[in-house]
Amino acid sequence: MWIGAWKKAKSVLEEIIEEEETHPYKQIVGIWEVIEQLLRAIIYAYRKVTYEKPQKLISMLPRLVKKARNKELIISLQKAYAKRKRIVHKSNIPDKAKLEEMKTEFCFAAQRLLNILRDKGCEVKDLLKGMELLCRGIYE
Amino acid sequence: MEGAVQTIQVVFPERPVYIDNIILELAQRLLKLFGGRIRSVERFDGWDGSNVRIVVRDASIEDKIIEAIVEFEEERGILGTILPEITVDLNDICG
Repeated sequence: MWIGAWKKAKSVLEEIIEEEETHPYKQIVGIWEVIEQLLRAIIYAYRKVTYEKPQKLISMLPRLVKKARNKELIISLQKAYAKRKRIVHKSNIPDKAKLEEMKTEFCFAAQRLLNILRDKGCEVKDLLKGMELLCRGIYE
Repeated sequence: MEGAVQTIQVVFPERPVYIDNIILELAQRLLKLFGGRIRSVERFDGWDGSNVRIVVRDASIEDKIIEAIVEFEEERGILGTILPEITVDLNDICG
């Protein structure tokens, strides 16, 4: 299961990188999907169960992983989820600025989530490479 | 259309649960930080696992509310307890 989530995260990340930035809706949805799959892989690696509800995944992370008991990481995950929810479940139409905001949250959170997966013995080299491509310019 | 709200009302559930006290304290913190830009704070059972609904009058404060909530949780050692659903108090059916 956690291998499946990790593979899906990698596959969606590749699609986001190929996707032109002129499609912020698709990109924001895809970026959240990558985060959600990483959360799923982590939760499964620690607990051998997974949860359907996205907020449950965020909630379990600091309870299970000491490294994730970090205010900034939880803020970043909650902001990314709120941004995704705002465009998928409300009538908001995202623009490029919203996509950049989403990428900022992603680049902060994904780095930390990948570190947690690496600690659990997961090979994250390809995901890190993809993340670096997507995050080019975010911190420059 | 509802008129301007001029009072505060705290409605207690018949069967209070653990998180109700946390929500009361959180509401107090949010009132102090954001005042009338927040309309209501309530316990909630969302489809996605959200457990607190916060209705705001000003959509631009959503990120600041998330920061305030997580800081509140960290102070109490309860990170991951409050899972917010933040919605805007306006009729946006037609944008």
